[in-house]
Amino acid sequence: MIFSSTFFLCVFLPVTLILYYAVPWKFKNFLLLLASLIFYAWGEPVYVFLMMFSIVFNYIAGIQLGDLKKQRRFKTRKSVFLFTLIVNIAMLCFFKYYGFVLSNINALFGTDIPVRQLSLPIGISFYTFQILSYVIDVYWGKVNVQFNIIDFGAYITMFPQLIAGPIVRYEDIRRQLRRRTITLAKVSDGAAWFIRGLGKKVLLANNIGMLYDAVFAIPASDRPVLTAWLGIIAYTFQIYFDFSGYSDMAIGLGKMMGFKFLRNFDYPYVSTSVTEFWRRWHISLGTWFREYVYIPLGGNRVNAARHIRNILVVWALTGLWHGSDWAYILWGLYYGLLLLLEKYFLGKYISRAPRFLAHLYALVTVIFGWLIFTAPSVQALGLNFSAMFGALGNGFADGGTWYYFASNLLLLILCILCSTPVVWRIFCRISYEKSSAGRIFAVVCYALIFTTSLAYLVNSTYNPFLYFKF
Amino acid sequence: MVNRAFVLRIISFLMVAGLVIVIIVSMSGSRGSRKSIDEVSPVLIQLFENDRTELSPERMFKKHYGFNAADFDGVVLYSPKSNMDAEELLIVKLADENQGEALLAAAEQRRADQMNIYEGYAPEQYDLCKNGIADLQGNYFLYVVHENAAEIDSSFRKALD
Amino acid sequence: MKKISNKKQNLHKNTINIITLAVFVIIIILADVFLIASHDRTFSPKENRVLQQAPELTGDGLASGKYMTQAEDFVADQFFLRDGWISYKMNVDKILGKKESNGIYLGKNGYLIEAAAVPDEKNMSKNLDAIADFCSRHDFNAVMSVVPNAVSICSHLLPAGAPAADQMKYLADIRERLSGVLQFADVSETLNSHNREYIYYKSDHHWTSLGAYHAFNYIAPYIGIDSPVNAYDIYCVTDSFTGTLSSASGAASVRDEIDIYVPKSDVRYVVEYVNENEKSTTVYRSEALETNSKYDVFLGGNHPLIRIRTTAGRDRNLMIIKDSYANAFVQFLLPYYDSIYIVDPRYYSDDIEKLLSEGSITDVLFLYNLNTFVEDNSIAGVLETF
Repeated sequence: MIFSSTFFLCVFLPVTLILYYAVPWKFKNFLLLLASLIFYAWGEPVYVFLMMFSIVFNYIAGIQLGDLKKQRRFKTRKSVFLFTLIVNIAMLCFFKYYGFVLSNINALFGTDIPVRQLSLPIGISFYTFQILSYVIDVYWGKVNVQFNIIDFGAYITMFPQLIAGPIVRYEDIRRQLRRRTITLAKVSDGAAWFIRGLGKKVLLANNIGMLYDAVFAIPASDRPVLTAWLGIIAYTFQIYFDFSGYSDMAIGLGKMMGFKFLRNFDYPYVSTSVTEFWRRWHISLGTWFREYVYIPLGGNRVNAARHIRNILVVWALTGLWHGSDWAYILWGLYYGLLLLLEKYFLGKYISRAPRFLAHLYALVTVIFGWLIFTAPSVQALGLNFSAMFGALGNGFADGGTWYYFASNLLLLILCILCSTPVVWRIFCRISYEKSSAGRIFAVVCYALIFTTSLAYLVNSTYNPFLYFKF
Repeated sequence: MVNRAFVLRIISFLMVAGLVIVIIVSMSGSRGSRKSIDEVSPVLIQLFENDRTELSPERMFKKHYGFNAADFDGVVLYSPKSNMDAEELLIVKLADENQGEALLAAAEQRRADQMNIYEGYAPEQYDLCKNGIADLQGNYFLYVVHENAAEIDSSFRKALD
Repeated sequence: MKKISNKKQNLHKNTINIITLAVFVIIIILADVFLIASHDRTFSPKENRVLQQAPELTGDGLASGKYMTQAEDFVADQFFLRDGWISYKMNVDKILGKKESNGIYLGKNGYLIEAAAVPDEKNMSKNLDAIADFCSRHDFNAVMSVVPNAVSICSHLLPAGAPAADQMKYLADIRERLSGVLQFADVSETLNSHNREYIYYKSDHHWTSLGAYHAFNYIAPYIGIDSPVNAYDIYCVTDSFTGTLSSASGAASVRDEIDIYVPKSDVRYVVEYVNENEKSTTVYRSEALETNSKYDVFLGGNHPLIRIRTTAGRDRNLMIIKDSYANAFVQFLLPYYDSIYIVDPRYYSDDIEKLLSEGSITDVLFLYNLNTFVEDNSIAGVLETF
């Protein structure tokens, strides 16, 4: 089930919330767990059992780690920890990378092992990382063992962030699992977050996504320069509004149930460097890798050679996390190299350069990043890239370019404005005016965003969701 | 007192072993039915049969799905007398389970082609195709387009055991 | 502007959020009340499709995920004021400046124009080979006419700059590959010279009788008609035709007229719908005008095989291998053949050789529109010998 569907909005959400508000506090987590399992089973009726397996397995592992610490049997404790780690990672790898690894082996050794890939359980990358954050923190002694399996299950499965993040670390939410408040202010704030996210996803991402689809449906060999740029810019907006819209909806739903999740996107496209971009893009993933991979490897408190190794390892993994294909690894390494370059060389020039140049630099590198990210193959990447520089001899623009440009102009402007903090600031300015006109304006805006999104949802079979595969 | 950590460790080993077995079994998927197609098909035909369709010769199987019936252990195909009707029933017993995927793909293609034909012209037929079921169960394959497709599919599964 | 205190700001923010929440809740409640209380709609004439009903809960349905898909479709399909929401969405699209909807261009003068289909090379080669083989096996007079679509004939009606695939290139390619096999009657020039006339429907992907009429005058000599009667009784049978493009795009305001052209001639005929076992003394089916697919007034839509026998007495027998463009074309042919066999390979699955000898066929006409032809996957199957 996805949030941007009439079924979720009109059936699942109201039923869940009514029951959730109605039951006393001590049953709320249980209800959340139950609803989340149904939510998951809705899309993965078989894999929900895999998820239950993970919950029980890691719950048990947590208790073992706790007991062994008390018994001071650190060697055994370490092996239990490693075993748990390996089982979790092996499960992720098996479902996500088995086919990829096998086809690479076949290609490399000319073998013919039949690749019989099982389908990918939705959200496995997200929930595995949540589980690992718990197991690792327990092992390090940063958090206490969770003895309540319902609370633990609710943390893993929590439907607002189950299938597309943000990746909530156990440490950030353990207190809220025991104690949180539900107030009208919080619930209504949650609804506002949700509506904003819905609008981003349904109105901006889906619509601009059609431009991307249209452009990339033209073979690269027939794509004029400007059209090629238009296409990848459309994708740049699509992936941002799709993903951040989904995160906003998750945060909103969390608030409606009394939780507070950390924000996952902070206007990444206004960055002036790649380093800054990654502080603003998919923050929860970046944090996770920093906490559980980068710092344990030694972070930057090591000599330059090891630091370079650390960065490249982290970014190859970050790329791989997004999907089982060489293009994703390439995409991760591309950022790893850029970050190193900025750290050791470019950084001082960027901070001295005029701001608009720095913006331009950051945007262009990010756009090329998406070009790698979307490439179905290395060869296609080369062609797409060439098309953007006229190397395929299709001229600068043709009739189609202007057609795409004209029929998406307003949407592009909206996308540009909404990827900066400006719109939000103006909106706040107007709505906090003394007169009530500003507040009426604000409510009308929300109502329009909601009803228009709903109209698209009622109409549309075109509702693909980009972040399912990760 | 029994050491809790020890018991839990045993449990988690068992859990992982169980999971591995389940995955291996589901991937090897050799749950072939030993029944012949003459045992499986009658009950389905009875549920399916209507005056708009007829038992079709093997060349129709070739035409619609692109395979030679001789390559399989058994093929039963009921297709519409007039192709303005969409109802269709295909039961295949595979000679080799590796044929399954190709057959599934062919049936999905057939469904897409039919939907393409009916789209905009014949909404009822379009809807029938859309709700048609292609079901691969080990060494048996079913493709059915019918008002009661779901019922036929569940009888199909029952008939295999 | 005066600086407002944080406390005040928070207060205002809360007010806004609470009213927003109220709006959110009210709309959802409305949707649910209608979902539960209203009578389920079974069919949407506007979209020309069957709407999803409340699915039945079964174990298999749950395990396969079919139940979930159906439940989701059910809520979207039975949403209150569904058609209103859809037109609302269409209007937003217009405001955003969109010039197409579901792959259909919103052209000038209210024209809806289907984008050009890209050839499915694999199937097309198969079809062309089968056609060549079929024609070389027999010695009838073989003619093909593949009709370009509105997207290239009426390109002046497309939104400015709309990327239209080059249908003329496809057409030239087909013609080239069949040269020496059969006579190719290329109607594109004729249609181009009439492209300001009403030769395609605005809301449907077919040509009008007028379009078919111009094409007929061009094709006639190829298929052995030396002196066509040029007198017709023209009747407008409906002015409220909304076709497939209207359904598919959601742009519901366009209406078309359907004219029929009845040749002034003494030839009488009987139409036999072979598989349906029905006979009729007219090629028109007025009952289709009461339905949504009013283009079916011509021959009642597509049939596997239609056999027309006439009193023409000219010793020529025609077989048409065709798609639905031919349906509006057949009315022009009636006075010139003793019998006409109309085969639609998408639906026909019997032996075509038998028909050829049974009908003593002298002329074979392949009549398709380009969009269907380049995507067809059924011609080869019918022409190949078993």
